[in-house]
Amino acid sequence: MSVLELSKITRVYRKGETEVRALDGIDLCIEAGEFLAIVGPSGSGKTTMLNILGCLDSPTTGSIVYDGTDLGKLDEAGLSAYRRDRISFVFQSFNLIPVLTVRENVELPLVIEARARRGKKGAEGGRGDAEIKALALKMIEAVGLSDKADRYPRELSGGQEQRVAIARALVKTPLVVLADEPTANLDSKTAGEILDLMKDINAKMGTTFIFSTHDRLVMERARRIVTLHDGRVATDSSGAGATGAGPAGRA
Amino acid sequence: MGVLWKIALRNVLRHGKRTAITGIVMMVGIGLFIAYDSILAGMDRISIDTMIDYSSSYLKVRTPGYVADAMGLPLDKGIADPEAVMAAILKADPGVSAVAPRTLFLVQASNYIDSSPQMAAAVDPLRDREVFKVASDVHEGSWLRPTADREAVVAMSVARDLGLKLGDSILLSARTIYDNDNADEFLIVGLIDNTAGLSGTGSIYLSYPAARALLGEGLPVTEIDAAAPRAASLDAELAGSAKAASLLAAALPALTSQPIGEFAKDYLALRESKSKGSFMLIVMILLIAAVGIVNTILMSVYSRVREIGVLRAYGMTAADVKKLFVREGLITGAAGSAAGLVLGGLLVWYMASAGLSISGLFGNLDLGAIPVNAVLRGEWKPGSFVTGFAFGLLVSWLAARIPAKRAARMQPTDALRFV
Repeated sequence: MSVLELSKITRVYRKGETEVRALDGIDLCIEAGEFLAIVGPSGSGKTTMLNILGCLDSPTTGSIVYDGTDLGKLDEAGLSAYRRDRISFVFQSFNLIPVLTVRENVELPLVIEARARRGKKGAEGGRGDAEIKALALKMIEAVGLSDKADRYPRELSGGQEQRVAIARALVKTPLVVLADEPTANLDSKTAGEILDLMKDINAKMGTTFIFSTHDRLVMERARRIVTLHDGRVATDSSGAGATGAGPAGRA
Repeated sequence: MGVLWKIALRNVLRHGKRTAITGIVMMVGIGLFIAYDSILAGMDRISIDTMIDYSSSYLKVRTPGYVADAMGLPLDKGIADPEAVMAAILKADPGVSAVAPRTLFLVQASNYIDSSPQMAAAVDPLRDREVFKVASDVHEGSWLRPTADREAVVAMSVARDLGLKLGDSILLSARTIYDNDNADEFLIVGLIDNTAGLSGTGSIYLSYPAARALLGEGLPVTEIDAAAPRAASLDAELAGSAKAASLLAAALPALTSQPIGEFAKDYLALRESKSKGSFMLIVMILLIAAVGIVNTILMSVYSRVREIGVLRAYGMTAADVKKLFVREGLITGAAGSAAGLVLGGLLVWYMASAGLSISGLFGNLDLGAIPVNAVLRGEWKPGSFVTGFAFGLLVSWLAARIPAKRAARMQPTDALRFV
């Protein structure tokens, strides 16, 4: 079952009179539970594509259907709600909130969600504080940081910070996790451990992971690799929608 | 605590130095406003108290005819039975603690060479000191004796102008109640040093026997002055006096009872404009603080652009991002304002307990209604504490909205790309 369908997606930026086509007619179908790496040289459109997949940016033309919903028909509030409820992010620089503890950082997406639900007239109340705390602690345990729950990000190593970021991304059980160069700031040993953790979660929970990366370690673990070049899909290891042969997917 | 308050509070604490700088500006601004307002209230108090202590008293009872022609000091419009009136005043209002009769009249004071027109007062020396402070301001010599009919107490400025000193004789001439002129010598037994307090009242004091020797045996009492224990605040003082006047209006319908507020009308009008001045002071100081808050929150926004991106990526709405930064401004403003209340409280406490010497502050400068030998005491004004704090919060809220709007307008993609 496809969770994301991109059809003829273009994204054009204008800088003065110059027109930059960051994405140029992307057709891509992503199935639920995929562990997919989007690769390509700098400027090939990886980050733009990830932003569009994450509803952080809108395509200039084309349509994107997410789990049956045409995202082009959503307004700003609708896109915010979609990000809040369905998608999670893992960033290259971890981007934990420095004034919140590990547990509070992991709770944050649930708190934002609960706050939004409580704020909606007629909507059911969101999760209570106790439930949010229990879910966060469970997820912190899943990433192996139970003993760090009350620490602040500044007290953690880079690898530990990224584990927290992963826990934060997964705590609301999203359909899709978008990871933008998640291993770029980690040494290879830690990067390998983080990727194995993600792979494990992907296998156990069926969460779809989409990476934007240059990292060989990610490509080694990806079941599908989509290569972008000049805003177009150059290769797709699944064979669907690819314009050239790519590396074989690895299980 | 909500997540927005939690993040806002911790960020304010995390950037303690810049919060402290902004907070200190607010603290100083609000503290000075409270202290300034307290001094103004103290000056109001001292001015009105001076009127009560030397001229208008707490409450003045005169005949309607006298009030209508008060500037002319008419001696034919006296109170018929002053003893009965005094007894009636004490009975009508239990708040009145003492009463005293007075008769103001004009004299020419002379040293036989030069002369000057002065206002004089016939007083009952014992009763007068229960109502007015003139007796306690005798700097040299002594206050009048009740039965002495050839003694005078003179303001030092009058004696100085005429080259007279304690023990000298002063020649007083005046129009009598029989409408002829009379002159007599009086021994200067006391010199009063408080000239400011004597404006609008006598600068030469005679006992009733002495005054009657000069002006005629039938010299009437033209006013009855009343005293009451000092109220905690000026407003309470004015209200108490007004209430006493209305009680007396009912008890003594043939006479006119005038509260202190009627004599201080012009001063009280001036007080309003002074209040506006103090409000302008707080507006200007808090505008400076507002610029500080805008800068502080802007710095906070720019140091946390990626954080804003993350919050937006996780579905936080632009409105909530705005609220987050507005709350940071409010916390900074509340802390600064609260510190301002403490500073203001300490300043007022010092000024209320230790007081400030007028002569120490201004030397011998003539301050009009304020006696130079007085001690200026700050007044506690709860209203200025409330105004200062509320205004501090309002300014913080308004100032924080500017950078907060900027934070809310950031596109998540731009924020996440920000280095």
